[in-house]
Amino acid sequence: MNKQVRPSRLKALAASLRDILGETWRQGTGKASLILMVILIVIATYAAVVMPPNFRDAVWDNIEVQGENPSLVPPEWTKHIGVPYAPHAVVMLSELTDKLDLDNQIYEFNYTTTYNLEHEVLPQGIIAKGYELLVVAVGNYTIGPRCRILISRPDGITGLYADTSVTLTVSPELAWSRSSTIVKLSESENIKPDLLYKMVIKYANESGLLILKNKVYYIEFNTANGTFLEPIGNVASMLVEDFALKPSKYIFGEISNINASYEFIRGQWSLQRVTTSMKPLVGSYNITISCRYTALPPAILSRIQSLKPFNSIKLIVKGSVYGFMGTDASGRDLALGLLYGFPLAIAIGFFVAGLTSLIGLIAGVVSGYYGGIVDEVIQRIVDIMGNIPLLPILIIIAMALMVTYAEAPLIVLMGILIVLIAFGWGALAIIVRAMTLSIKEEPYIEAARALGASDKRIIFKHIIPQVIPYIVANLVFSVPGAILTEAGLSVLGIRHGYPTWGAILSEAYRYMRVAMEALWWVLPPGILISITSLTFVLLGMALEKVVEPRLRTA
Amino acid sequence: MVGVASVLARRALMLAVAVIVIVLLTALILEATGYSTRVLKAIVDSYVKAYRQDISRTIRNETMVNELTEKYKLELEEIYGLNKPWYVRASTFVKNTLLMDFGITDREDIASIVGKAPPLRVSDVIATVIPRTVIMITVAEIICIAIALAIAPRLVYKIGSIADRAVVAYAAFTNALPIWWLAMLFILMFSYQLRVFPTDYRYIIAFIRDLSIDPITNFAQIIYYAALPIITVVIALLGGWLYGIRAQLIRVIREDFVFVAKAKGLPDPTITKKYIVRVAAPPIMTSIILALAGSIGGYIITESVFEWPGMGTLYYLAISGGEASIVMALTYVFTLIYVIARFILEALYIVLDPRIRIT
Repeated sequence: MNKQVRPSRLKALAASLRDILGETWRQGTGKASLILMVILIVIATYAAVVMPPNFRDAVWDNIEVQGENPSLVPPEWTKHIGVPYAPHAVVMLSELTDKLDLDNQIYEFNYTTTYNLEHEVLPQGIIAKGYELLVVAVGNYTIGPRCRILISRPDGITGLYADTSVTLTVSPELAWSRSSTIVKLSESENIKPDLLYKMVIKYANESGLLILKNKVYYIEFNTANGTFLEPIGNVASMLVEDFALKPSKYIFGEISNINASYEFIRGQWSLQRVTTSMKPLVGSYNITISCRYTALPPAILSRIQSLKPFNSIKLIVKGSVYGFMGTDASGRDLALGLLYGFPLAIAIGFFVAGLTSLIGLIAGVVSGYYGGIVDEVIQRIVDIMGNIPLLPILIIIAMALMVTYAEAPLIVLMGILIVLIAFGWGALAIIVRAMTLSIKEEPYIEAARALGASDKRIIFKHIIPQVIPYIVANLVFSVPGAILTEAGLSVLGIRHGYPTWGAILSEAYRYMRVAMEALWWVLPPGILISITSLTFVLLGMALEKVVEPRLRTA
Repeated sequence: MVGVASVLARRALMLAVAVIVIVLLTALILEATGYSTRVLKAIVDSYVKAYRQDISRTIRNETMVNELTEKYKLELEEIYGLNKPWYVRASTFVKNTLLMDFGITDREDIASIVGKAPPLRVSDVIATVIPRTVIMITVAEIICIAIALAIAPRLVYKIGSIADRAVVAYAAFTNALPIWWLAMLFILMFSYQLRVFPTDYRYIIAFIRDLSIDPITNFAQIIYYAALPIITVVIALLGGWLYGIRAQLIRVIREDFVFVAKAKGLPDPTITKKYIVRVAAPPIMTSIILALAGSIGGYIITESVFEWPGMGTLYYLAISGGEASIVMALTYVFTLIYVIARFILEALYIVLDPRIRIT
């Protein structure tokens, strides 16, 4: 008997849902919200399919990736509305010129590019990352290139702005990994760190030439490594110190004024502070990356000619604008985070709303249909839950989870969602119970019972199909609640680790005093949260009119 | 009258049981999850570390330093109750909270939002903080209610008109808008960029404290500081109030007696006043009283965004600082206010509406 009932039961359910959907579509708000909903789901699906599954670790929280972007800059399109900018440039250099100096046994390769600065805005820095380094193994020692970045400026000054503190990263999936081992080579010819040495022994072939595939070397000079620890004494050394901290303004700017402030301490004047006024220098910059091998054995010199020190070099000039949505204070690409937020928000919303509605439905029907002690217990539980201040309890539990499972973001997030579900089903259960009570008294239920229908049949065939429209409306209405609560908790500093819109906003909020003008950081996540919530609110209102015709006004 | 008394007594008993269960549950959640143990341990460890550094400067003997540190640690564990099992701590909490004995706090951050030096009695802390939340949240709620009560009755005859649709759209829009985001946006725009409103709202502590010394200046300052938070909350909540009251009135306007009144040719204002608002008054009154009672608990997130030194911020500081006694006290006070409001409402219903007595 059960087998015969099932298809028709499903068909009835599907038909009732189709009716609801049709009725909803016929309304203005219903149409708008359904269209918005389809758009949301399409974007969410697209993001879920396209973005890497380990997006959080691989991209969002990856310091390597963050380091390639300028930090706290507006979107690129702001330049079209007249905001002066320094362009963000990423160039892959693979063409090179080479120069052989046989007498001194020096082989030099040069990669060259140009960067144009049109407005008086400073770029944030320069990074060069080399891929597939050529290391020459001679006997049991290795020779690597010494790399430098030379920049010739529009005013004719050519300066050496980075002399290799080459960073060797010994991890194959470097660009997407957090925990790569980094070995520093300050002078690659002389220092042979263990790791490099071992690799050389492992891979070196008879000819003595070795190419380390998939390895990235990079020269980065937007931070100093604390080398300027000499006692502060004169203006020059202070300038050096300042240069180490903010090299970009010296590379791309002219000093228009230097102020040194002195103070009379213990009977003598001593230098306290040096401030410089810099003016960005507009024009075309020639950037050359030179890689030089020295002391190569003559036998190898002839063979190296056909090779490159790096297969390619990624040269990044960090501009003052970036991407479609700008970046946050750590240099994360906000466009990616916001896109990733779509599937997260939709999943959080539907997970909580779906389970809340399901539990509310079951509890309400059971409570109303069976009555007695079960009813009493469920009603009392709902009563007490309704009186508990939810947010504090939620914060307490979330904090406990955050402290306990700091390394397991999924557990923290799920914990929060489960508390939301546990406290959310009560209101629906009361409505469903009231409906069940009134349906139960209808004559056709009595007739069905007289014909020998089981409780199960009455519940599934007569009660649930009538309750379903309300459940659907309630489900849609409770989606935004979950999204908003999760976002609110994030703003309070409860971090589960996933880049939800709320989490992005909470970062923006923490930096508010620093990032006062960063509207591109504060606005979009809030707007997306609002639009998503609005979609469900409007859909809920339209559905409500369908299931509760008395609300119809026009 | 005996019937009324017994019904009321039963309701009172139910609500009292609910309060006790909520206090029990809160204590259970705080202690059984290990939350307060963890937070307290971290605090004790930081104190012990500081103490060790402190005495290391004067005492060179390693073993003596170790001994003293250990002794200090045991003392602290005694003070924070870490040497007792969680259920002992939880039951002490429940007992003390129900007896309104909330204890003493010596937290710097909590004392700083009160505006006094620690140690402070928790009951005093709550008593100083409640008026601030009333100034921000309760005042905003009252403004919302007043505006909604003024506008909504004018809408009932114009259901479907542009004004009515605008109200519904506004309600839907603000329903989807997180208040705390609006707060962030307004602070960013009006406080930081346009510099119309203050950026640091904690100064309000001093103005409220000195209100009796120089009422006029300080009152003006309080208004200046409270303006943006109140505007934010009003904008965010007004839509909900308008929609809610409108819905209650619409429910009544479809009743037969309104139809009859109309047929009799009574003027619209009279119908609204005597036939609609009057009938819809009890449910509207319910939501107003419950909202006002609820507003005293503060808005945790919005207050935190404004750094408004009210109940919400205190709640948050207490939770994040593992100050379980304050969490318990606040939960208790909040629930008590809410439950008393509910009881008053039910008593009013029973007295005013004889039909309810039967059920």
